Amino acid sequence: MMNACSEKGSPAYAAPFRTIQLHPTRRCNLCCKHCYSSSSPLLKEQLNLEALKAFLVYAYDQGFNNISLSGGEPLLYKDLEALLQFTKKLGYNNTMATNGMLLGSDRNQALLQYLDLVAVSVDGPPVLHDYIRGQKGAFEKMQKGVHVLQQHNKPFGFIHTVTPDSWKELIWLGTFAADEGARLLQLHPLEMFGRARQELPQWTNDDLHLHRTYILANYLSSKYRGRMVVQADLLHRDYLESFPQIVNGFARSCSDQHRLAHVIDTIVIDEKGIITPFAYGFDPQLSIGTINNFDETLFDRYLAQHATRIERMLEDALSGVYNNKEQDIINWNEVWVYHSRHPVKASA
Amino acid sequence: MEHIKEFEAGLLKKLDVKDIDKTVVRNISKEIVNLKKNGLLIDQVFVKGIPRLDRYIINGIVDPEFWSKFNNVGGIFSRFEVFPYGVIAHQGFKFTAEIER
Repeated sequence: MMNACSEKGSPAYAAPFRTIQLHPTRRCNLCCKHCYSSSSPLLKEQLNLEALKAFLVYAYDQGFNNISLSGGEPLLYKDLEALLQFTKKLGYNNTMATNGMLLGSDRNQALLQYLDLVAVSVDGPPVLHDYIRGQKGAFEKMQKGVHVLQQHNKPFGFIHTVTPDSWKELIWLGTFAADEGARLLQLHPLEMFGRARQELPQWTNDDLHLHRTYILANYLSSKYRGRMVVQADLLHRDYLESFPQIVNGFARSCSDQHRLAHVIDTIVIDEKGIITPFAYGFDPQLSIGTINNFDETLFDRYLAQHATRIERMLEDALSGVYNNKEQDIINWNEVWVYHSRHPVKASA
Repeated sequence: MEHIKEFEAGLLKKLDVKDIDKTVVRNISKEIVNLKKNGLLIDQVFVKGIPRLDRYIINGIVDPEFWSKFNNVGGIFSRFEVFPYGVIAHQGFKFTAEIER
């Protein structure tokens, strides 16, 4: 059945996903070289559960329906079980990205019941994975975590950060993921953000690498169709030019442009409680507010103040993409975050 | 199985040539995107760190036979939009649909 686009507090199965990416802590048991949030074992700050709950009630009522836990390692968040229980009861779809190494404990196995999908990070075959993770044996521990998910019949997928060193392993990765029983293989190109800027500057993806990834991802997608979803976070410029509404909520014919969840379908909450539109790393000057101090007019006030500017920024960023004929394959997330911090007005 | 392995080894070899002709690679990508733009093909944008399993956005230009097919599968769409203004031409209209499962 077709639905209108104006659902309020709709359950995830009945509406497009409108996602809250939650970073309840940046504490992590690892210190990965490519980590965009620069997470590490040394960071201690955690989100206040009660403040978070209050905001999540408000956001659900405003149309958000999908929780995507990230970090840090979300399993290190002390209130994770209480949080997941709460969001599940509210009607959210719960998903989590994890390094998978801590899934074996009784506490962590128990909270799997509240998760709809678990995505485990894998950086390639064991040697490459351990190198990126900075820990010998990390691959083996991750694989043990995957076996826990299999034992619980929990739908899971893998997330892979594609680097100029790992694209040659994508065929291997497809086989590995399918053999393990994954339902999702998400390929995300390395972005020069967070720790990657210091640790992996030599691994900047150029257009040629992105073409290679794009071609291989499309091959894998057809190879595993019906068995495992293969998604690359890449778009061809021509495709984006034909269908800008994929990334521009203001260009969608059925968007209610007075509702934040319709024009900004992802918001991010970091470990300090700051709410950012679109993606981690987006210009902090355009932050929506904080979960520690908000009222029920937050989203409406934000749109009234910023919608015109953001719509113009989106159009400028897209124009930049269309006009740059040297770059065919686009990592829109990277382009958009960069543009938010370094806006360049498109030439006429 | 051996045939697939051979194909995959060949594909990797072709992409891994040191002085690869970028025009060739660009043409392959362009063909892929042309296919996507002209049929019931699947694409999506995913934001880093967000695992999504259940949502496909489908964009394409459909053939006149589509409605007879759509009558059989329409129930699975959670959203179906016709661009630009909800006006359906007899053929060749663009659409976006979402399926969740």
